[in-house]
Amino acid sequence: MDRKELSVWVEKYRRGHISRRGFLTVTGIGATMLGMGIRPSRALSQELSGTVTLATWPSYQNQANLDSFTEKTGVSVNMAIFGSNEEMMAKMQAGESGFDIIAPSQYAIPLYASGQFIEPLDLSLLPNYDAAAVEPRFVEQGTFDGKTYAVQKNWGTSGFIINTTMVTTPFTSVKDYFDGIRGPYSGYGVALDHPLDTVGFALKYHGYSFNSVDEAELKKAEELLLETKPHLYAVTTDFQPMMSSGDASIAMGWSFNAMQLHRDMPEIQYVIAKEGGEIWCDFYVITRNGPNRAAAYALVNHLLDPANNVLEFEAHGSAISDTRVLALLPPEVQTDPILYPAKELLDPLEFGIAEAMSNPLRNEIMARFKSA
Amino acid sequence: MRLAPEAEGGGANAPDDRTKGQRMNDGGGTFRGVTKKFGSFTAVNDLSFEIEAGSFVSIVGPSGCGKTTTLRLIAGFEFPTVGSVFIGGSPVERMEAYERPINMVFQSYALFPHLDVFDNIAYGLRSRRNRRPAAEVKARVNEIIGKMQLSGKEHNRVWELSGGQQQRVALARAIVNNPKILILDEPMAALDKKLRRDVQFELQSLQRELGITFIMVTHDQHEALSLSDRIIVMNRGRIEQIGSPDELYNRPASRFVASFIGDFNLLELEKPAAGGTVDVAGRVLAVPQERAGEGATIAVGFRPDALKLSAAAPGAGGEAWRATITNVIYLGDKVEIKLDCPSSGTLLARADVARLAERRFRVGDTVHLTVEDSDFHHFTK
Amino acid sequence: MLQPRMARLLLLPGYALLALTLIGPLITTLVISLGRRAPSGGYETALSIENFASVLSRSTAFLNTVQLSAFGAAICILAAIPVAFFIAKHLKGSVRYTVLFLVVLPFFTSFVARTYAWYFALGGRGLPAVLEWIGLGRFRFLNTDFAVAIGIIYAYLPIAILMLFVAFDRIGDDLLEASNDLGRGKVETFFSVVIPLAMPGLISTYSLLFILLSGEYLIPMLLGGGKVYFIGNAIVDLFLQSRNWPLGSAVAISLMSMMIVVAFLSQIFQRMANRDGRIG
Repeated sequence: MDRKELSVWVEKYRRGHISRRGFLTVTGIGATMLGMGIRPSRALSQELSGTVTLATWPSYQNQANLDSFTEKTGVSVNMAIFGSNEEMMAKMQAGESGFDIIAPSQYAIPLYASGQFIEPLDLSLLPNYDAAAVEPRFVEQGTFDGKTYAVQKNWGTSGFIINTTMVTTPFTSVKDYFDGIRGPYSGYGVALDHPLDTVGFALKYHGYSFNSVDEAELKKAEELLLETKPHLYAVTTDFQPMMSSGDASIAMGWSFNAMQLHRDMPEIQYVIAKEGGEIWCDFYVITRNGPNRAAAYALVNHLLDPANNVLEFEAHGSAISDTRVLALLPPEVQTDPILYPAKELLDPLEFGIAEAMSNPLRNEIMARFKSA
Repeated sequence: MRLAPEAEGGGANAPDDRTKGQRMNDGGGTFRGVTKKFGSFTAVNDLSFEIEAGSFVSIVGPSGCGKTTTLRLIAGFEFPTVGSVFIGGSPVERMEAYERPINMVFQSYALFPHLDVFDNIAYGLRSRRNRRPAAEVKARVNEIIGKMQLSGKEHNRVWELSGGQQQRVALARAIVNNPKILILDEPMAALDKKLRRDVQFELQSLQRELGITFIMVTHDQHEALSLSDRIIVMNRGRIEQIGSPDELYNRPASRFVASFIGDFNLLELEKPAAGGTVDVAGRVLAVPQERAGEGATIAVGFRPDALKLSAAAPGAGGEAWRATITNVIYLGDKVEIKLDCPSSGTLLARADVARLAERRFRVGDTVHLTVEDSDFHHFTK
Repeated sequence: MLQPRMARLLLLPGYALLALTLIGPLITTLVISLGRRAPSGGYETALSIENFASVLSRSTAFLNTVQLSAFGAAICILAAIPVAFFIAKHLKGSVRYTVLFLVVLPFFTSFVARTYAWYFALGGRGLPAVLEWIGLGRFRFLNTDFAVAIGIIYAYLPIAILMLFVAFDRIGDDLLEASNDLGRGKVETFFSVVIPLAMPGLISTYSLLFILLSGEYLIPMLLGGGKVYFIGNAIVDLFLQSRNWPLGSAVAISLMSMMIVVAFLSQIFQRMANRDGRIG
């Protein structure tokens, strides 16, 4: 597929038609390189040159920021688009060495760090990063072995998205999700094609930790999933069209999915389960063997500039915790219940952890659930 | 149209003394004003003729003359654009091939490669339409296998057979159905020369024995002459002449027929005949009575057998009737001599070797030519 | 004339390329399938056939794949037969090649885009909305065997048509006319001449479709929504989601073995059909 065709799909994704996963398939397995950068009119910086490659998610960056970076430094920016952390990691484990910056979620960072894929950041090269402006719990997720490996990009939660015209009974919990799908809403539920969340919520149903790797607990989670499978409408991350068309009425999903659906259809609402669920955060990290380290730092620094970060927010629509950025955003954004839920809802949420992501049994359960 | 059936007089001919089958009376075929167009191309143009039940008829003509289309119109693989086709008196032009009481021996034989000899022959008797009881199929197929000398080959694959055997299977497969008309499309084309002669005799005997109408298409005029009761000569989608081999050979209706059936020395006239006589290179010939009403003679000609050569001094014809020998070809008991004549171009003479024994002609010799007035054919078209 | 030794030498680069692109990856896959998943995913050296035992845990996906491939290939063939026969035996000259071109025309657009078109057409705002508007009631097509079958048939029908066209085109018109002449109409002729003679082509088309379909993962992924799950999806997930390369390799090798068996059986059946006719 050529760049033009690809940009059409990127645009589709932007409009919420295709999920990360769907996007991945369309563009082919593994990373797809996008030479999105414009040619610099003049190079202002003497030290920086060449190309920098950013591995990120679809519709996750503001092109204007990349263009202004190129304008300022003369470095053109390539993007490599991935569908999931798992795929990005599969690519890195397979020996990919062309990326300078990647944008993993918190649970992947320890794996990258311990696998020597990324380096502890030299914060002196990132003057726009102010750890004090970021919520400590997110700062903590970017730290491994006492060193800062990652700077926060944006965050969100995992929960349930319901169409209130179709789901008429009260819906507040993980129990409501699994029991509703096996009961009155059979055939209308969607589970995420994402092991961490799907297995995690099945564990939560039984009151276990979202990140449990206990065999007995996982066994019960698997039983629940296999029981639920025949009642599901789909196992996919590409559920937005199904929700908006009414083919599905309950979906496990992420806050940014809920934002997009709710904006178009107010009857679609987001529920953070009272038992808890997942809170997640995406970061920028710099690879150890990337081809253009200096430009990588410069680009991350450029994107963390609060004014630029506001533009980023407009592009990805996920919550940002940097207080300097929040100060620049309209007040209603900070009170949006989907973007910034109440503290008591956030408290029971757990960060997904590396051990859960890489646990073979959890992954195998997911695979068996899908192939059932 | 001049070649309408009534003009041919063929129907009036008395049947010969052959043994005729029972169905011969309804095995005749008639074309009435049949035209077949493929797009803008007219393959067959206003064809009318009648085929007598129980006769052996050949359709001859050069390739592209419409003979194959005519055959396919009879078989039912093509349908006339205009006109009617009758078989045994009933109109069939809208009937599909499988509905017509006609069977065909294809030029390629078209034997079914997935069936053995027995099953190929039994094919028609096992069709849903004409299904016969198994015992009858067996009896009839075995009988015909015996008749066609295919015994022992019943369960051979057809591609294991020789060309002659394949042809007999194709024949057997057709006649086992007792068709009113058997169509043969270039039946000898795939056989070697030696075999052809045998097959010709076999075909003739078979036709007499069965007494059904045979219609054969061939481009080989010798084959047509030796096998047929009547021959239809076609050219450019039209009929040139219909007649017995004798009629076509001795009374060709046109220059085309004369040249196509047997060898012929044709002399085009520079100016059409006027006043009952024609001038042929200084020789004045009277137009025969039977041609008088047909219009002006535009060409004359004679068979190679009619041309006599002599070393004698020029006679009445003068210098124009002298020629130089360019080739001498011995054909067993006959000899063919090719001549270059200043007034008439290339001519062919044929004579018995015995008759020429007293005079040996050599290439390069100048000879005097003699043709009897009565041996000249006159053509108005 | 080249010396045999020289000729063999000249063939070396070809063999090397073959080894590099075909046999190399195959051996790599085999080696990985005998290994172990690294703690954080990927591959770790080991020597065990344990992964092949775990392949059984994907038996549902295997069964799904075999069923839908067998069914999809059969439907493709049934749908392709009339079209291919019509093109081969009723169209002449340039019309025929124009129609053949139209048949393969979809290949000029991206396979993914075409499958996505079905994703939207079968989704709630596509065909079901039309049916609801007509008053036929509320339907849901996506994420069913039906949707996947539609996608499969749509995607593979042109291949079936092309292959069957070749098979039918080889049958001489004279054989069909001979059958007609011997009292059998079109339908009877079709079953007593065309089908037996096209049998080797039908078998090879069926087995090729079956093999292609059983390796399919995109159509079930998009139109099956995780509900219709092929073995191809299991392989993709094992590599990219679970990052269990050894098990992924073992499943891939099992799938490949199944395909080889199908290809082998196809050869046998074709030879049987050939012996029964076809070769002159």
